[in-house]
Amino acid sequence: MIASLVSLLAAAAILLAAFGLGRPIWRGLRTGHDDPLETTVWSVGLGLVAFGTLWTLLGVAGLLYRELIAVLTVAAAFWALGEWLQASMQRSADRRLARRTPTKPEEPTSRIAAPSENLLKLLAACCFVALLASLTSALAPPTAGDALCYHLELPKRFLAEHRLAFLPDHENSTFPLLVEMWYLWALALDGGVAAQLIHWALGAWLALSAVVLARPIIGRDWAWLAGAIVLLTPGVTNQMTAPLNDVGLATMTTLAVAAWWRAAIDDESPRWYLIAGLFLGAALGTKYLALLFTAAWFGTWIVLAFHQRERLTPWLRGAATMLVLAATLAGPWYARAAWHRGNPVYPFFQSFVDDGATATIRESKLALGRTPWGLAAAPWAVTMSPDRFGGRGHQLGCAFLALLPGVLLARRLRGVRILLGISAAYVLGWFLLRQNVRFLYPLLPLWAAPCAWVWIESRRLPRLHSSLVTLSLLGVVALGALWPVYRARNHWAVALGMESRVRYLQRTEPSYPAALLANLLADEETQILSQDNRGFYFAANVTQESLYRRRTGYNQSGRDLATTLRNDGFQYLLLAESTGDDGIEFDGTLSRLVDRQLRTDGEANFRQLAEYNFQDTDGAARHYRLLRIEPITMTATRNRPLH
Amino acid sequence: MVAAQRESTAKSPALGKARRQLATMFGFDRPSDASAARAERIAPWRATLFTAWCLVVCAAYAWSLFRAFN
Repeated sequence: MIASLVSLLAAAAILLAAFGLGRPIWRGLRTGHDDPLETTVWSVGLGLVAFGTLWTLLGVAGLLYRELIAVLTVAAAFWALGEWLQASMQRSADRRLARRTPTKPEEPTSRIAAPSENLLKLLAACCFVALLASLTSALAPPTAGDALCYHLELPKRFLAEHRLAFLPDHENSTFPLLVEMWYLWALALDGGVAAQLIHWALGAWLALSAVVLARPIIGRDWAWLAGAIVLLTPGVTNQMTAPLNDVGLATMTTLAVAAWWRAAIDDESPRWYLIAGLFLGAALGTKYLALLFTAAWFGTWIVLAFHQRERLTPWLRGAATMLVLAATLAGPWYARAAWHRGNPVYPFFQSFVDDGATATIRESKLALGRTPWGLAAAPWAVTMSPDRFGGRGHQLGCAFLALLPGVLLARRLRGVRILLGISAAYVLGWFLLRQNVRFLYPLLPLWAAPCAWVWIESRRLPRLHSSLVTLSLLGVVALGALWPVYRARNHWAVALGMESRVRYLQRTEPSYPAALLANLLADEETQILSQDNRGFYFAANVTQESLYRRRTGYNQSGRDLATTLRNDGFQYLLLAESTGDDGIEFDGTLSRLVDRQLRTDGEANFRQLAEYNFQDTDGAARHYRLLRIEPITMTATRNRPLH
Repeated sequence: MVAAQRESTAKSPALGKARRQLATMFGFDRPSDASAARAERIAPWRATLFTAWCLVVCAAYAWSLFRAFN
């Protein structure tokens, strides 16, 4: 329980510090939106981007020290408390003034009749359940494969080396890593659980961003429905329980579009373009996928500009502002990749720079192919069979598929067509490049506002139809709240401290038993060559065997294996094999070579330290072996004849 | 039509009461909405089509979940 509280405290300190830095930036931008929701959402968002950029710069300068990060966090958190105190004093003074001066009755914020209080209460209850249950899961130590391979592994390595080190045998080390900079922040203050809590908070922020985006389109009250639809998407609550980056990306793209909307569509202050540019830069600094989103967004904007030529000049100015800011913020990540790999978006489109490179856009990633009927079937297939598109855990639920076609019978609402235009362009790119369901997350808030509009319009259906539609949608919403409860069934014990984190990891994380032993024998300088890429729980440096093999071709050199590995600095090997039909398939090259050498030389070069079988919660069985590469002196001693 | 509705409610008072409660609970019977809605009801065939679509999607999704868990 203490461990969970410490992690919660670390995550809260990060959000508070982000608010502390973001609030003055938000105030300085003078957008004229000062209500508590907008202030909090934009301030924390801006603060996170500013801190992420700061950690990046410190990483480039080789100054990533825990102590420095902690001092800056505490300073910003205290600043936030000061800001909060000042704001609450201002509010109470305003209230006193308001009591003295008679006020006019408040005008409705939208022409659309407000939703019933019971509907809002039901949505709030569902969101509360989903948030609490996903928080429970987020408090369990991270075990998601991608998180242990790179989302947490890379920040751990950067923190250990105090800089943004280039790791040649780590494909992801030259990716844009803004979200990972926030995880580095959490690792510096606490550990993997705090990092996981940051992604949980980003999920909540995604829902709030959807509310902020939907406000000018469907009104303040109904915007909460859009936020609830996003939050209750099963894939979103699932991602909130793991330190990945898809929800983080979606939050950044949504805030960028919401800021752009105010400047470009609602003709508010052009300063909104600055905010849009910052968040666009943050999105591009999070994941390459943001390039596709940017293309879809700006493509739609160009089409709009053809229809509204009188707005061309301010829009051109705004677009230039956004692009310059975004390039400034995200550019260093792409320049870093170009510097180290010769390709700013490595490993994607590598075949353009290297003739011998394997294609990164593979047919295996295109479950529906590239046919027109595949595109037509995509919405149904993605909803009903998400396992074909990256896994059921990332599924979208059925609310979007059920509601979105309803725009055909709903009255036209200003803005809906723009959101759907951006979505259509993005979906086309998604369909042609990489059909993974979680890559659709940036569209969820763009779909949520039209979905909420269809829900509103369903009140125009005849009573029986309306009741049936409402009941089925309420069922979908309730199911969205129950998903995280179901998922949390294995996590509440460790979240509440009734099961220790070590015990939990021994039970659920396949690489953990090997990591425990390796951490007793090795230190941060030690090099482990591993067939399993899950390196986060190892104190030593874990090199991914597949990438090392691709770079060096060690298996085809014809030299003695042990000598080759020893010369390349490795001291330990972690061999992993699948023993069942399901689950991950490991490449067996290293295992075969080691077994061959064990048969000929015995344990002269490789000494087996541990061996175990592990069964995942999904039933996949794995076999692990941890071996020490015997130092050359020991090999010589062993081989010396006895007299 | 109103008379027909009243009649059907009278035939099945429990159903009528449940329907009224649902409408009250989620705000479909508000005076402002009701007048606007009466003025611009969606055509029955389109309403039926959309309702059927919603129900089919929800049922198919429930079935896909059932298959995934079994």
